[in-house]
Amino acid sequence: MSSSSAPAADYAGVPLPEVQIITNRLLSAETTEVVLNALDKIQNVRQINMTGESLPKTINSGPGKGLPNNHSERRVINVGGHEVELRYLVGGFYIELDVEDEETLDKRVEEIKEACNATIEHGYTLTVGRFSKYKPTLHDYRSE
Amino acid sequence: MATTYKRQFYPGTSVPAKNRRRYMDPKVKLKKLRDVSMDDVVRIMGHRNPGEDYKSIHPPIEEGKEPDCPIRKLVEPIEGAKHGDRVRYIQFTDSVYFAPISPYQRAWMYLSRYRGVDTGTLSGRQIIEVRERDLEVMAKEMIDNETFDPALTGIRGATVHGHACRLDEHGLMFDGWQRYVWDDQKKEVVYVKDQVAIPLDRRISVGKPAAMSDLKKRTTIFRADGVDMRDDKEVTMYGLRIHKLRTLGGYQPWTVKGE
Amino acid sequence: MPKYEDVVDLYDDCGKRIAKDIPLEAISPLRNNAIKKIVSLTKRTCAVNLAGIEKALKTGSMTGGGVIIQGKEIDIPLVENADKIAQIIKESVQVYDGDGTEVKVKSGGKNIVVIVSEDRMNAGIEYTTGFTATAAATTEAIIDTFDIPMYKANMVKAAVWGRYPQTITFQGANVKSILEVPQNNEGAGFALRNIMANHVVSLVNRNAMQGTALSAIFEQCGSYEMGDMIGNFERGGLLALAYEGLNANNMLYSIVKKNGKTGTVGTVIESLMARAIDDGVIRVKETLPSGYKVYTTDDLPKWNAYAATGMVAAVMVNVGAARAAQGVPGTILYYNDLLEHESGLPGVDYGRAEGVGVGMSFFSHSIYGGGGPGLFHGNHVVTRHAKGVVIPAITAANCLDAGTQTFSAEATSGLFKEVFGDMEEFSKPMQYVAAEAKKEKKKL
Repeated sequence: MSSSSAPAADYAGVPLPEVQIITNRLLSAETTEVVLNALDKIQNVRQINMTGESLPKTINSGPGKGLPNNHSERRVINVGGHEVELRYLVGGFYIELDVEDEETLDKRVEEIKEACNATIEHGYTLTVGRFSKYKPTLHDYRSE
Repeated sequence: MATTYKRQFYPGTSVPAKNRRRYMDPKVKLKKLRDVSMDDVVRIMGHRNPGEDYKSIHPPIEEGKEPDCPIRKLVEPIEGAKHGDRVRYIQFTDSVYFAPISPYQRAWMYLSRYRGVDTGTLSGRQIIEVRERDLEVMAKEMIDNETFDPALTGIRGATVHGHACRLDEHGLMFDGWQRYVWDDQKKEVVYVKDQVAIPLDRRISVGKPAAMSDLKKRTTIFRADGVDMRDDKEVTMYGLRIHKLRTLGGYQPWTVKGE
Repeated sequence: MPKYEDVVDLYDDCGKRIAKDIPLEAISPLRNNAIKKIVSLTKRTCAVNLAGIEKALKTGSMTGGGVIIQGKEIDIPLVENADKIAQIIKESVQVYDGDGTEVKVKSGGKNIVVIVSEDRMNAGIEYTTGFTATAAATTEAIIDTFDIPMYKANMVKAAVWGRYPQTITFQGANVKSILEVPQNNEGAGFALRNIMANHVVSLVNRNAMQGTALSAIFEQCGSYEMGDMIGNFERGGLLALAYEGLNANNMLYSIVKKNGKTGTVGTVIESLMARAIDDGVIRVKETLPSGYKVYTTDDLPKWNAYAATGMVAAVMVNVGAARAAQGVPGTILYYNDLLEHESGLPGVDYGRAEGVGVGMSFFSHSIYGGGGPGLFHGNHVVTRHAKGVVIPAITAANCLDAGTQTFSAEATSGLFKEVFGDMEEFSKPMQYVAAEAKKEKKKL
């Protein structure tokens, strides 16, 4: 899909559960890396999307427009051996779980809680549900 | 005999209400919590280099040479106006997380404490525009005094986003342009860019942030997890009263008696 | 018998009493002959910029927007022949000798001021007669005096009238009226509200008190014309005109005097509250546990007039100290908010002035394109709501500017100063209205 509002990954159209983690503080790149690596070890994680506050690459307005921003938290982190370019100060994770029964779900959610408790110093709220799109909507057809 | 009226500023018995009154009252000398040098204040604002002459927008005002207007004879111009200085600005962003003051109360405070100022509240920020040499004096006062907290108050000319964002792990208000950073050794906030994010040639410390327990005593902000505005009956009564009287006045003002 | 019991003393711009015990109706635009004359002159007076026409014809640069029409330039000495042209204009415009038509040559022939007679105006129902008669007479005078051939005559028309009727306004015209074309008025009765603050600044030669008065007169006349000053609403408007505009009981002048050297918007509020308490306009209704006193009034329209006077005083003190007009919307906004918090009573025009302050802050600070406070008028989308009371404050601020504005009165309205600057009806409205009010008092 070319539309920006389309689902982040191709998907069969079944609403798999997501775990939403909203952190009480915005996380540094270092903490984000630690959190992701802790989550990366958990089984059945299909994808993790993150949200946060945008960190522009360059100064995007005013007399300094065009200067490099050089924000210390806008950098490449390493997650499970892969390089990930952070463009946000992260404050939320959406962890999609490829599980088919409640028992597995509960188990994975517990593991996620453990991982977060160990890595997110200032606390967070955790909710299980479905928060992002899992199939194209009318908007996506219109935007094609 | 003419009444000597003393301003009462704002209703309310709660801590934020009392703080609002304090900041607005020009008779209260606000506590000075830090001393950022005038040269550094000038650097952070970025309108001129320290030591550089003030640029002017019109010739100096000479007494007796102004247009013939009785009001000009009564109203003394501020220093910068006398010299024909440019009008420059400083803009503060105040975090919703119990910053000492919020943007709107800054306007109340500015117009109660200073003269010759142009101020405006926008979403999460407050700009004050003044003749340059007067602005510098005011800016230093406002950076040095208790209305400023290094972590929760930002000096931002543009891209002010952060007022309603979560704080970062050091408790600093979010700034996409990272004009200030946390110095972990000194436990202080340090400005590394000026208010429009042009890098400074030196690091300027604005000191240590206050503890949250202290800020809750100093803030003007009503919050559900602090003092809920609804718990201050005088303040809520005031809002309802003004709403009602504006409405009645807008309909048939001559019928509104003793309300 | 006067309709209203209110009686005021009128003071001039220097705080000197010039009329005592004036009943409110004596300053009503329906009765006061000075105000009637001001309104009449506003629609009947036009300035012909003869030097501008001469230059336009010589260069072909006319009708604004960078348009230059080449090949049909006309090089004729208009300024040199100003007296002759003025005479021909007068003969065309006047209905009969002594009908009140006036045509005067100004600035060594660079300008001609034309006052069209009431008789001519009365033959139509639109105020544009002043402009159209003057423009047409000027065009004809030039064509006839210099024997302009038919195929070049259209250049004269364009140099005088501007691009109209291709445009709605008289774009690039070299005849100027204080009033805008009716098509630019936002609704019924807006003509006298569609006068830029800068025009008034020029008409009063930057005297802030007189500027406030003239704007208040224009605005309140507009209120009558819009249907706002009828029945029970009339008294409120007249009180605002008296106190805010005409320095009734010297309140405006004395508050500014008290706060001029060191005062702030806050101290102006302090002075206003004291005055309102002393005059019995407001009183304490109850004292709350914090010690906060809730004030009430039995005369809300009068409180409104007091509040409006304080608003102009606050602008004069704060903007005056800055000698920079840009602070006027912020001062209007926060003055009203501070006053409401101080008193527990509604701000100017029952909250509307504060709302106008918010919108005008946005529109006058380059956030929304260009434009300084001098360009604002009562017909503007953000300033039209607080009828009668806000524009005087904006004019006051622009009078006090020392040269910070790109859109200064000199830049946008310099011609009015040059041409109308010596007309006392416009430059000294306070004295002029007070003198007529004294006469009117005897009739009431």
